[in-house]
Amino acid sequence: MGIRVRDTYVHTNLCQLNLRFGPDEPLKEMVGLQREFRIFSADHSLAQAFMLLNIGPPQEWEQRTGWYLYLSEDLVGFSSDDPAYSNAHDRIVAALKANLESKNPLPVHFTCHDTSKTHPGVFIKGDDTPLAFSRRKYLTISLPVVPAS
Amino acid sequence: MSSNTDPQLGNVRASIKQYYTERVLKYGPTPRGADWTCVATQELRFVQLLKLLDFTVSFSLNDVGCGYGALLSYLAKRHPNTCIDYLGIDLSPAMIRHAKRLWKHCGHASFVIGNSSPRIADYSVASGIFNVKLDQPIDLWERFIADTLADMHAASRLAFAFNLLSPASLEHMHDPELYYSAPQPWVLYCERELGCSVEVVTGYGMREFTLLVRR
Repeated sequence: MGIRVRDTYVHTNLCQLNLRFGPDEPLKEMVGLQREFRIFSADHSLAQAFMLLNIGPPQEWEQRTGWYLYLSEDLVGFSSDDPAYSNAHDRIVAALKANLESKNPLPVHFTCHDTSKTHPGVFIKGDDTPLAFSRRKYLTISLPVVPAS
Repeated sequence: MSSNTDPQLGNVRASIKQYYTERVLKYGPTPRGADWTCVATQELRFVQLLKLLDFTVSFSLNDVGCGYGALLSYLAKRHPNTCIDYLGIDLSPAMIRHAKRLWKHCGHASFVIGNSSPRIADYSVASGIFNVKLDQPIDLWERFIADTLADMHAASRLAFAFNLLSPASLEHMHDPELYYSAPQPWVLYCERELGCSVEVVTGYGMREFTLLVRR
């Protein structure tokens, strides 16, 4: 993402994701959308799903394209933290699907990490408490990124 | 006084026309241009409204506040085999221009500028048209809703459907430019004033409800 999308837009994207998958009403909406449309499934790429949800830089075409290329092309090249999935993209889709279709879905906290420093690919953790200001449980999805030079 | 000559309702409609014209000029024929978050939530609302319809037979449909005709796109995806005689009605000439351009090759769809349907169809639907009240006082906005529902009733042979925002659980989350309501006042209005039976659809994940109103 760092290479594809300018710094400020990375924040915008993460902020949009955290608002749309946040606790209470946003999560209920996402569960309703998943129930009706199966947005997150092997039938749709993450880029298609997020396009449908209009998650991405709102106006700037170049930044929007960069974001969707990150989702559709770059994520496939990163590894999964779960050996059941061959790449980060498929792991994220499966995690979102399983969470939204579960009996007790969790809000999702999206963040990102530099792959050269910690995990080489995507990192996903359920029942996480990623926010210093909250004891609420989240599904944390840390997107793998390579910093822009 | 007829609703079309009531100056207060005329002002309400003028402000709606201006608001949505500005939106579509700024964002184009997209969900944002019609003030929706995204295609997915727009279509989740369509799913509820269309629970009214029997897609095994052909029918005619009025889409009140049609915007750029997003409902047609949904119908083409979900119900490609049903023959639907569609008429989109919108207050904003800019919206109707976009709709006509987008759907010019769709032989069974037409669009008109206006606040009510010029024809009687089997069904009428209105998605989200009562949500953005801007700075209108609530009693005037409710008069606008009642008037529009009476028009939809008059233009529907079998049934009509619309949606409204539910009040937020926390008062401070209310946007003063939006209209929120419990279902009951509008259920009673449709039952008592329009003589219809009403089904309330809730629990589809959005802070709103849909009323399916049958004659």
